[in-house]
Amino acid sequence: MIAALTLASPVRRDLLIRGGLALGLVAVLLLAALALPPEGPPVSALSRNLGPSLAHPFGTDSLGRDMALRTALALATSIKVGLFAAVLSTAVAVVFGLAAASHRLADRLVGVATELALGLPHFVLILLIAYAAGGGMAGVILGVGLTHWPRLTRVLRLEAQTVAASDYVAVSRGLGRGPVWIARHHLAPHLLPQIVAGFVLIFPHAVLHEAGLSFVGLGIPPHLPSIGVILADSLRALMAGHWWVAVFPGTGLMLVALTVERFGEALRRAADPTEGVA
Amino acid sequence: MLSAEDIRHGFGGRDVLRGVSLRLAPGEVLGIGGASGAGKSTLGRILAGRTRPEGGRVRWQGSGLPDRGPCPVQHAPQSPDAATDPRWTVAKILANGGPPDAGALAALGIRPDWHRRLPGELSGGELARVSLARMIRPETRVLICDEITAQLDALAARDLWQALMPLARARGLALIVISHDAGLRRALAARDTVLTDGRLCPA
Repeated sequence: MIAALTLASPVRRDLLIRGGLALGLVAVLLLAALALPPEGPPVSALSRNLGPSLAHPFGTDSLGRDMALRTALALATSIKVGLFAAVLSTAVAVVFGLAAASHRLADRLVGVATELALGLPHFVLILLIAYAAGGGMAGVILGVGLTHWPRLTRVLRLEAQTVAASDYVAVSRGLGRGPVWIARHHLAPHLLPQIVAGFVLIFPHAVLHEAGLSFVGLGIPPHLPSIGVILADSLRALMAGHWWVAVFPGTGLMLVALTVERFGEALRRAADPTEGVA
Repeated sequence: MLSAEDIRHGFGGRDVLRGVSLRLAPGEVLGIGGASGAGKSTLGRILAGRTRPEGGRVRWQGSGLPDRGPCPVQHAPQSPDAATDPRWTVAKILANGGPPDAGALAALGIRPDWHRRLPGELSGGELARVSLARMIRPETRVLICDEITAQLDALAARDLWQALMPLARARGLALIVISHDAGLRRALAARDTVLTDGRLCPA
């Protein structure tokens, strides 16, 4: 897809900068989570409810745990859940999109399913699936993963249909090329960039919804680090004026979602052959 | 060589072709004209086996057009932009049906430095030549030129025809020139016809 990455065009430069930021942030958080003790920072009676300081840049919570470490661990959990859910959603979108493009009845069914999934309130559907799957980590991944495919499915279905009906595919057929060759040489190069961009754009949604689910208690179990759990815990601390317990984890979540979202947008623009790299 | 018998075809209840018959001899140049929507392009696609007609049949040397492998009848569509994959390099486009024909490339003035470019990086006239060149292959016996110069300026169009006609003659290639431009058809084609009311009549 990205044949020769040079700094030639602003689209490419944008893609490099945003991609570097997003991948760097995700990599740093995942590595930090590996280096840190999985049970999180130690409980300490001596350092309860401390505001931000040099020793604890994000402050400490009511159990004396360092919020910077908790935030990093929680973000890493969110990223892992987000990755699994985004992979699941993308896989569903690819299967549905290709099925819709290759068969008329499948196209009808996928169309109805897509409209239905888009028509239902998003979060309610996630809640239902997560609840039905028994909550916990698997519930979040299934809930988020099975609700984020419709937009990408639409994009892939349209793109696949456009390619299949194009003059250049007709020319290739006339020159003796079979359906497998056409799928490999015409369809795949058009769909792959859309799939990559779609995956990256689903990811921030998945991360935010994971936090939402955990916040209402249907997501990550409370003993594991998660932004949703931290924010739910922080409600009482906020009443007591301990703002740092909510502000830093919340900002961290927003930052991760925003950086990846901007990377996805840059990818999508670069995927358009009339605008970016081919 | 190529013949069509009583071709009928319509869209959404509207009959566009109502019994078109024609015969094309090897190396012949046939002009087909007609107003917009008269069915010129539909007929072109049917003759190249791209569209299955609702009635009648296309014969190639006595039987139907081959189902697989390169088709002896190639259809060059109007817009070279639509007829070339925007993600393919010119080299890949030219090699689509097999190794490109060096003689055809030279005759059509395709320069080696185009090979690494994408279709969007060529002018309309240049891309039209690339689009045609890949269809001129040993297997190709008929080239259907469907308004191939309609989107070009007069000069680029003249250059293209001046390169294509001697090449077609040298290869013994039959041409069907589909164009709304009667002057162009008369200049190129030995026999000129017009599609009116779904039938093909001598012009």
